[in-house]
Amino acid sequence: MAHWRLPHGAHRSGGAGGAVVGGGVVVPGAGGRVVVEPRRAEGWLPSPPPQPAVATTTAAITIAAMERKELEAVIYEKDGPVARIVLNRPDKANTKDSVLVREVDACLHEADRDRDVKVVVLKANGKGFCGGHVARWGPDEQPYPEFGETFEDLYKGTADLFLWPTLYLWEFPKITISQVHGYCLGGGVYLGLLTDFVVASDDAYFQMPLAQSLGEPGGHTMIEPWITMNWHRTMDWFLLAPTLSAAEALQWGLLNRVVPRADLESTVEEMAQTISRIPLTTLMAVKSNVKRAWELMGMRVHLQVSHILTNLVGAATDVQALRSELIGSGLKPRDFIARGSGPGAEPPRPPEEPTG
Amino acid sequence: MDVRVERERIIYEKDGPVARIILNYPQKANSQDSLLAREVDDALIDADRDYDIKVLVMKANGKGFCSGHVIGDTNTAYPEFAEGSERIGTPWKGQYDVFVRPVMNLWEFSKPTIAQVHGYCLGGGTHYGLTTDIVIASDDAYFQYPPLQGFGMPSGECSIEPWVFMNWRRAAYYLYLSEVIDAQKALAVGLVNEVVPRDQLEDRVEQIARHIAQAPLTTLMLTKANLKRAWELMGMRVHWQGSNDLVALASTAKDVQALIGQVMQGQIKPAEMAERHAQSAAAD
Repeated sequence: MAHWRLPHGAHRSGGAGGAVVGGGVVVPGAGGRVVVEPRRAEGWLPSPPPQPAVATTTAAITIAAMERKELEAVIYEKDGPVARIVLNRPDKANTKDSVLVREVDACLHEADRDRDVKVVVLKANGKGFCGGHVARWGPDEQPYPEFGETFEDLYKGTADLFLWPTLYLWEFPKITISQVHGYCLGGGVYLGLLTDFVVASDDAYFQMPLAQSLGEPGGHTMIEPWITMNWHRTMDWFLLAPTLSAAEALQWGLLNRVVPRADLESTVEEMAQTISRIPLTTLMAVKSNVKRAWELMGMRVHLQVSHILTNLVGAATDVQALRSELIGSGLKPRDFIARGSGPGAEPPRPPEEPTG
Repeated sequence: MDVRVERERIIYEKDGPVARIILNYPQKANSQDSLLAREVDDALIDADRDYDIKVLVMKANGKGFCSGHVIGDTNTAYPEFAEGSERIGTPWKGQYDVFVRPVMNLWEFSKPTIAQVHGYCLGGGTHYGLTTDIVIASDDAYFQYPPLQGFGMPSGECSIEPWVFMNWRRAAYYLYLSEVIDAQKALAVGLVNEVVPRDQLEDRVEQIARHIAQAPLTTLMLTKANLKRAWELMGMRVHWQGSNDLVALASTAKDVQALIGQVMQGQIKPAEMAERHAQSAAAD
């Protein structure tokens, strides 16, 4: 078994391929030194996977000071090979207004360009992960300036906010992990469930209330057929709008792990560290190849088409009637669905309570 | 002739192994109102089920093959659209029922199909004239999709253009400019199989139909299935369904409605509107 370890102190820049000289591979070394490594005895092999400098020693991770940027709606942290996007609007239930969507997208782009970053963790401050789209605006609020005044602006604006950034999160070349606690609702499921790994605390719950409340066929991009890979569960999810507990979501195959709330952070961090031991190139190759299977099945085009349908329903009178009813009720979509379940019904349900 | 049924918009014939659907609404340029679309679809279903039939011919009486959708009185021409608009605010489902499902039925027809095209083949008429397996055109035939310039529609309920041109630039040029493609150019770009003099069109199509019909039915159906599956695997079937969503979406947009309003109020045909745009660009 050959070991492709670099001698202590040698660095190999991330994408630089080595030139084959004699029986060895020449790689640029630190300080201009040239390091010749032996080729594997058992036969021809391509040059070893390049490793970013930061991953060659664990010391590099601890030495690098954590970078932290506080934006308006999110916090961006860079901590060695792990970047974290922390939704930070707990007073607004981390709802995806335009600012939050654009900031998450900008952070993803930054993490993508950053050669040091291998894994991005998406998580949230506050009582839950993400409350979804802003469904109920205050009189002076304009959470979505992109939506404009006309149907045409709405079509483009919703694509810019809820189609392309969602596709980008899915296509993001490096590894993504969602760390979900508390609520993950409506449009929030795109941040919570479209990542490569999802770890939830046992208090997490998931719901798509939009068909039953806003009359939308999901939220702009229909990821559910692709993440459930199950026809009946998908129909159930949209049309009956069940609140899935973390345990149920695990059973549906939507999550990787469910852990006690107290262990959530450490579980995700450990996972991120474990993943980041793998060379960036390998990570990106695995991700590309998994993603391409779904692309070949048609997911990318399907998400774009579902955005068209979501806009189309807004022009339909039966949908408009339901929306008027929702607006008139003064209720949030999730509570609107539970209306008529009796007097005093019904605050957002913790999953352990009966939902019927 | 084994069967000849004259319906309101079409004539349906069965003649040995050959079935013929003849658009027969020449006083309205064989335009595709809902009734015509349904009669074509009914005939297709009958011919599909009939084990004696091996080949289907689509052709038309009158000056041209088919002038496309009826522009003007939607309530009369397309009760399905009017009902959709009334019940759910969009003609989305009606469009699917009249112009997606039946066009897919023509394309998916289990046996070989031949379009015999003379004169105009316009707009939605191209969905009958160009989605058959084989297209034989007379030298006076021409093809155009006017609604992009003339009605604001992003191609049809079934967007056939990427699939029949199989060429990005040709499909784009044809749609954006509402280009009129004459028979010779149609032959050059592979839209049709043969161009023949008008007086020989009928005989040539009948000869091809008889020729095909000598092969076993099973072989013909399997060949058709296999050809069709290649295009299905490329995504054509889903793309057609998605294109209807876009047409419904376009019809709710204000800038499109403005153009439609101009065309309707001025009683301008979409092809004429497209021509005005071309002339206006040339004059600048």
